[in-house]
Parts: sequence; structure tokens; C-alpha cells
Amino acid sequence: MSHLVIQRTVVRMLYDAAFARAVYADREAALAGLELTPAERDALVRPDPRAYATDPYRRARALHGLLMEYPASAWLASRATRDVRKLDAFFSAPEFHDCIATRGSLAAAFAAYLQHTPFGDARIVSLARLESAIARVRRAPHRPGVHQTPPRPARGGDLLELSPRHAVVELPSGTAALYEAIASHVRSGGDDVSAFLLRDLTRLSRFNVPFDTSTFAFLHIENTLEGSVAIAAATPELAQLLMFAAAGRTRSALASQACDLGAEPDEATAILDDLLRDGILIP
Amino acid sequence: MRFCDRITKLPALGIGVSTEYGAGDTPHALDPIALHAEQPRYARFLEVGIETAKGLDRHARAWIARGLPATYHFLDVNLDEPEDLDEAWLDAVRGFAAEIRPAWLCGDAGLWHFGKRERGHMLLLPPVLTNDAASALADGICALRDATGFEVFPENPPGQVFVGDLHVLDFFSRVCERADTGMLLDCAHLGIAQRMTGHELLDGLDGFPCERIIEMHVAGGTVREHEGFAFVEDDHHTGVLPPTWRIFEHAVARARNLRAVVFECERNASDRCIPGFERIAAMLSRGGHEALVPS
Repeated sequence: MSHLVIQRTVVRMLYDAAFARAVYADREAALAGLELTPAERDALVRPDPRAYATDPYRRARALHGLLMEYPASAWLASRATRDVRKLDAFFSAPEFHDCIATRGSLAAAFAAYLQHTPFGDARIVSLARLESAIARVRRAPHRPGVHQTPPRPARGGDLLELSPRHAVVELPSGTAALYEAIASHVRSGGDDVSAFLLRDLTRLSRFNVPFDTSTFAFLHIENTLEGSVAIAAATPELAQLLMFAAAGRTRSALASQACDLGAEPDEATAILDDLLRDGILIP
Repeated sequence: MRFCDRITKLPALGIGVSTEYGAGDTPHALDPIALHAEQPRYARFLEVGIETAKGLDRHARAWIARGLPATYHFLDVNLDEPEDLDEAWLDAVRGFAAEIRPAWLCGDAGLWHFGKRERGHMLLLPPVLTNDAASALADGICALRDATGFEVFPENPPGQVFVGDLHVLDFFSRVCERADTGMLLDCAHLGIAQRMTGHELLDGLDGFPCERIIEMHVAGGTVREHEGFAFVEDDHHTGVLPPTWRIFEHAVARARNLRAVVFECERNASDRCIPGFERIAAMLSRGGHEALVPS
């Protein structure tokens, strides 16, 4: 399936002019590690190199979409870099290239980029993790007015797992409040997030939200049936049970885990029934 | 049943218009239903562009509610990636097809999104023009046809970067042969491809199995320049470029099984589109397709 490798390399060249230049300058070096024949490498540089650059706004459009999904971490990162446009460097970063080469998620890759880049502000890492979880549940099927994903066929046994519309994350205390404060501030700036982040001079101190990296709290994130995302504090017991369920567990294993976390056997059964009824656990 | 036999069951749709989610809300945009009422020969069917995550807008639903003919133009599948034809997407396609009752499915056979089908991943690139990619694309067409029960006609996509050792028409000839299917020839896209790959305008058409062309697209474009590099942007403006008309005229005369032509002008005012419709109708008549343009 080398045509898929070629296609993904074209995408990387379209988004990253520096990478495209490197391929034209020395395709053996720039494409090292890719399963491409010499003829396929040659084919990538046969077009006029300027053909890869005919859409000068490609990166800006994609970045705009990412800023919409990462308003809080991007706002803080724009403070750290003094220019939100510097986040455009994501499209030349390994996280972006790996995402394209491995059929990954752009939103998840951007979160990884925000977490790996040394902005010098620990809050960016926490907010990126939270916004990544939000982006993930937002992508779960369940959109009103369109045809829905059918129930998945039973996988056999009595396996249950955490619904993709739900996520649990453990983050430093204050992350949720900080997210709510910054995200609502960015939303107040209108639909053009990029322009708002460029011109906004608000200081972080205005939000006055305590943030403590020495204590942690669990957050339960839900893509509601109405299409909005809800963030709520979760008890450590519930959070650990849902995290245990993430990869898929038998009902008996989940009941046993609930008991280990302090529930009585009858109570564990009721908890699992409730989680199933609420769609938090799914078969 | 082979395509040459199945083709007899395909309806002659004539000239139609295209739409996609939100296009009808563009200020002063053509209203397909109004055009159908005023100039029925230019809006005999609606080609509904569908991204399953968005669905159908009120304009498409209004057309469908009238029971008027339609085709389903997909906007969100990479046919050469087997994992892209997942059950969730196929179920959504079947659901929309049940609503639309299209004459067939069609759409650009290229890269509609990188990675998984996910917000932020959308783009449109031409396929890699190699023999292996043609086989993979044919497999995807067969899989979609089997999963939906509808004919699936690949369209040659636009693009500025064409990679691969095959001519675009040779590539699609192999795709159609291997999938035993018909073709949606987009004349504007072909003009772009010929220009970008350094070919003459009509190169490859005489060797192409034009009897497989079931549908054709005509659309306006704009010549742009970036760093001294001239290219055509496929912007669906009403100003159809001369190369597009030339390709259309040449192919129409050879496409003896042609069933439908779409003038892609969905975001333009109706009165600005009429000259284009008139020219398409005249060319169809001259090309021996009077049945597609009833007076």
C-alpha cells in the first residue's frame, strides 16, 4: 500500500514548506525510514515545487480550528510565546508529522505538541490534557439530526467499557476552574479565535484562579446527548472504576474492582447498573 | 451483471445542479427548487454533496420532500483506504441514501481527509496515480457498491500536486475497468490536471473508454498565481474557463452513455448561472444528447 505512504508524504509536504524543501534538496535523507521505492521518491519531487505551496493559508486555517478546540491552553501558550502565530510551528513539529504518517488525530497531536513544548508554564500542560479529553469525547458519535452509529455488535462475554462520550482525567487542582475562566474569556472574543488571541492583552492575574500542582483532582468529562460537553468533579472511587473500565472489562471484574474501592457487593451491582443505564458504561 | 448491462437501468437525468450543506444559505445563492420551477430543463435533478457528520440541510431536504430526482455525492470517504469504509460510515450513507433515493452515488475519488474521518482533517487531494492505487480505489468502489446497493461512479478530483507515473485518464480507465463501473468526468478538474502535469488539454481522452462516462461536471475556475506559479482554483464560479468548455465539448460527443450533467454553480445567483446552463444544453444537443435537454 505504498500509495498511502506517498499520499501521506504529500500531505506533510503541503503543510510543511521546510519539509518540502528538504525533500526536494535531498529526498533520500528527508524520506529516510519510509517504505518508498526510489521511483516513488522521485515522483514526489517531479511537480513544480511551488505546486506544494499554492495554498498559503492552509496552516492558518488548520491552526484556527485547533485554537477553537484548545482555547485555554492556546491562550496561555500565546502569553508564553508573546505571539499566538508561533503555535504555527506545530505543523513542522514531529507530533504533526507522526500524526499524518500514522493516520492519527490532529487534535491529539496538537495536545501532545502543547505538552511537549517547553513553554515554561505547567498550566499549559494540564489545560492541554483537559482540552484533549474534551476534544476526544466531542468526536464520539451522537449528533442530533444525522444518522447515528449503530450499536456495536456484542464482543462476546459480558465485557463493558467506558463510553467514548465519557472521559476521566486526573489533573492538578484548579485546572477545571482555570479552563472555565480562560475558555469563557476567549469565547467572549467572538468566533475569530485567532484574531482575538492576537489582540488580547488580558493578564492571567485577572482570572484569579488558584492552581496547585501538588494536589490532584479527578474530572469526569461528558459529551451530553444535547451535544454540549460537561465537566464535573469525580470522586476518586468513581474515577478509578471508570479508568479501570476504559480498556473493557468483564462485569464481574468491574464489580470486584468496585468492591476493592470500598463498595459493598450489592452496592457494586447497583453502581454498575446505574453506569449502564446512564450510558457511561457500554457493552 | 456486467456494467454494460447494468447501464441500461440507469435513468437519464439530464442537466442538474449541485449543492452541499450550507451552500444554499450563501447570500443570493441559486435556489434549486425555484430554478426547477422556472427553468426545469436546467434543474432536473439535484446532486447532493454529503458529509455524513453534517447531514442534509433544509434546502436539500426541501428538494427531497418534493420527490424530485437526486444523486448522492460523497464528500468524506477515501475509497482507496479500506479502513475508511467502516460500518458506522456505511450505515450513515445507507441512511442518507434511503432518504434521498439517489439514482447513484458519486464523488471525487481522492483523499478527502488525512487520518481518520475527524473534524479538522478535511481536504481534497487527487489520488496517487499508480497502478496499485488504481486497484485499491477499484476495491473501495466495489465495497461501497456492495454495501449500499447503488452504483458508485468515481470522479477525477482537482488538485495542484499530481504524483504518480500514470496519466489521470489512464488511471481512471484502470479504475473503471477493475471496478466494472462508470465514471463521473469533471471537465474543470481534468483541465487542471492536464495543466499541472504538463499535458495538452485533450491528451488521453481518445484512448479513454468514453462509453463509461455516465455523468459530467462543468464548473467555473479562476487562474491564480503564487510565487510566479500559475494555477487554476476550482472555485465553482460561473466563469467557466475555455479549456473546460473544450474538454466538455470533446467528451460529450464521445460519451454515448451519458446520463447527467451538473453545472456546479451552487453559490452563485441564478441569473448569472443561466448562460452556463444554456451553453451546456446547446453542447449536449450538438453532441447527440437531445434526450437530456427536453424543450
